[in-house]
Amino acid sequence: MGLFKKRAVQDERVVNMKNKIYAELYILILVICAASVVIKRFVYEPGFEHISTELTILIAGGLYYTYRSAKLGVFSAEVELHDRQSKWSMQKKNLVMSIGLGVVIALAFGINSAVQYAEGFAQSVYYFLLTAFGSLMIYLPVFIMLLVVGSELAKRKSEREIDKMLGDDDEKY
Amino acid sequence: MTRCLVMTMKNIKLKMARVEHDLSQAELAERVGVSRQTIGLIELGNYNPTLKLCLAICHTLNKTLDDLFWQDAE
Repeated sequence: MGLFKKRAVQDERVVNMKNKIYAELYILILVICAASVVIKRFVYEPGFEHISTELTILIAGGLYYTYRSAKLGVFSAEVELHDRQSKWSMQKKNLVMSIGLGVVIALAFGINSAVQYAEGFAQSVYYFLLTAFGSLMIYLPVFIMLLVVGSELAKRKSEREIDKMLGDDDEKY
Repeated sequence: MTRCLVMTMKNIKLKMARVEHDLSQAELAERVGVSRQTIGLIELGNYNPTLKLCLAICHTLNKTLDDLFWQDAE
């Protein structure tokens, strides 16, 4: 008997080591998925159908981590620790990253359009500017929504959750 | 890493020591190098800190492990 009896002491070394292995395993899965996406882009024709599984794993993993860390109140603690140690706040870094990603994608699409479809220098420049500007207008707001607004919403949710766990304000001081 | 002690009740001793030093949870957290939430959860008895964190708190508050974290066996 006693099969379902909760033991008072666990072997924490084993539990912690297992958690460490799980964390490493997650990184390994991300690396394999990312490598698979890159390789498939060269092997197959461009398109999402070949890489949809890898993208689902990458995106779902990120979303799950964000949701769980916000729900458990860890997200806001991470931001607090980051902002304490770093010269740039997390919010500022996210904003710069969003702009950087938006610009890189716009340039990539612009160059691709100019090289693939334009004839002559003047048309290349025109296609480049047109596509790059159009892409920037589309992707910049998307990245800002995902990284800046998403992060801020997750932080607020995390703060609400941790405040619930900590109870009244008089506990803090 | 080894957890310091199994805590199931509020750690009043830690809160008292912190107040003695006129520190808020956020200030103690900054000195120790953890988040304010972690200190709050330790005081509430909802998180078991590692021995390393217990020692860091004790050193910051000039207390011993016994002073802050010892509980008699139930």
